[in-house]
Amino acid sequence: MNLGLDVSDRDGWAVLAVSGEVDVATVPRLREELHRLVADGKHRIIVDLDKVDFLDSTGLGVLVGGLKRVRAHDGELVLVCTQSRVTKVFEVTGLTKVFAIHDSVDAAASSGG
Amino acid sequence: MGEVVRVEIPPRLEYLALARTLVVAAAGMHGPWSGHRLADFEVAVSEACTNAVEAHRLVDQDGPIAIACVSHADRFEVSVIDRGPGLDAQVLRDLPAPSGPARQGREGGFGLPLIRRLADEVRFESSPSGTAVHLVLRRGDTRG
Repeated sequence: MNLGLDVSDRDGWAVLAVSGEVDVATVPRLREELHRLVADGKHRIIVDLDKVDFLDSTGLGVLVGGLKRVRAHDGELVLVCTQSRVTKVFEVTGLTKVFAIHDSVDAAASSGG
Repeated sequence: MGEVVRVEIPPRLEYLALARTLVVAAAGMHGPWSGHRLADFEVAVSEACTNAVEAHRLVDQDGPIAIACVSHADRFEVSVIDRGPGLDAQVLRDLPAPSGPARQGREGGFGLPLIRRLADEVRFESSPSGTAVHLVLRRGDTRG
């Protein structure tokens, strides 16, 4: 199972760079990392999905859960993704109306949420 | 009917990536398919396999999940066959639209909508002794 998670800071945002495959087998690690960030007071989070090769419904669910958590603290969670194979799952589930999806971390960090 | 590739996987989540890889490789042998259509189909197959693993867990069924791939003249078809308790037909009929108000804020329930939207056709055959989900990738379909 191949999932990479890397956390950095950018202009007041926590950037969680995800790589590899996000499915029901690997998604607990993504959920734990998002929970840890929120618990550490990181309420403005950019999730960079540009190096994700595969994303399933459980990955969508964890991202929706992360968004709800940061919004409970008046925060924001935005996404970075340019890969059509990943953006497609957001489109067909209507989640492009829920998440702001940017082309780059720079664009996300300057979006204001 | 064309050649059949049939594999069985243990009903455990760590085998889902292997199942996806096998199905994509089998489809690739019977292409061509555009990259994004095969990627969409891979998600649909993975969701069906995830549901199958969950169905086995519900009834403590340790037996294998069968995955059969068949190439036809007009389509490539994958069947995911489990030995779970069967799907509730009413739930399938009443499934709300993925972007509809019934799903606003929900963290789950995206699996079946993804299967229906990302495969060209889907058929469910369910009984108390298990479910077969048949997913079709049509040749010549230009849907994006």
